[in-house]
Amino acid sequence: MNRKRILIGTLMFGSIWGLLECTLGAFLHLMHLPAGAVMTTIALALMVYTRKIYKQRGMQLSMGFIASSFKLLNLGFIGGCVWCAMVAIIAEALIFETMLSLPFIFRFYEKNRVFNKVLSGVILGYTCYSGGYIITETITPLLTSTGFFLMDLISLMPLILLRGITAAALSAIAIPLALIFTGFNLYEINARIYYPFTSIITIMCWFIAVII
Amino acid sequence: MNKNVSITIVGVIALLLISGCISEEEEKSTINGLKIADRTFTLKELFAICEERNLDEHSGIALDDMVIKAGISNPEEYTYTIIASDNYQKTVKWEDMQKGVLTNESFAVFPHLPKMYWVRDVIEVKQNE
Repeated sequence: MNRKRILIGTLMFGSIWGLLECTLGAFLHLMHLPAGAVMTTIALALMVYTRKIYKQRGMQLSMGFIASSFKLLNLGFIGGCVWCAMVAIIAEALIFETMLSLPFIFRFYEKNRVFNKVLSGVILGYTCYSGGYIITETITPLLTSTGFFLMDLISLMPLILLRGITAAALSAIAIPLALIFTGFNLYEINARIYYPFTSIITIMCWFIAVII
Repeated sequence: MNKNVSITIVGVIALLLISGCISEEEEKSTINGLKIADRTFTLKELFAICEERNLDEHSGIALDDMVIKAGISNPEEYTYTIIASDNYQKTVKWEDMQKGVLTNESFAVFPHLPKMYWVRDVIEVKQNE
């Protein structure tokens, strides 16, 4: 494993994820479209792709931290709750890492069958979205003076579990597609191309996020 | 076609159909009245009796005054649960009510709190011990 390549890859994919959250996510939110479900699906696709080609545990959580930091760059543009979004992004990455560290999930996910890939998408999509939502609704109030009220979360559970189905359905399509894209292995391309390419993409993401 | 692929496709279609039903929860109800503690008011009544508060982007009636006008004595001793027509609810403290407004679209806005505390289509404000 080339640590430098992994580090640069983490920066690039985290930045792409962050930029998409700030632009596409904010747009979907303003349009009152299911921003959370769509962004969870995109995040999962990026995490699945990077886990497959870099094969590095913890990379996806680091990507989550980088992506969430983008939320602080364009406070004026975002239509939703900045702290909630930051917590949600990190929570999703944490759940993804946890899920793939479970041996039975990992064995199932690794099998090269369409059924396994689609079902992995459903499980990961539903768990990351619903789990992320629950963690966000629990953590964010603790960051405010108001505090956490259990009844607020309980009343929200039917909505969270129902909305998780949209994320599951979208991920059922997106995860197999992301796995098909692993045919293009970015990690193995020539260093002369890899470092300039990933650096330019990363800088562009940060630049765009700052100016919008 | 492989049996597993068929099952997978059927499963995905079923999930998409179920998720399509979720749009139902996005529908807004028509507000006939807003229940505060045990009394019910129309928005028009509330706007007639309550003090107005202007925030940067939103204006409406002051939530703290609304609670007082609804007849709750010693309001600072309670927390308040703002309930929406889709059962979404958020509980806030008296200090939060003192900074919040209820707009003429029955939208409870707390500018100092994250937007997850902003409740659309409010139908009830409940006082908690």
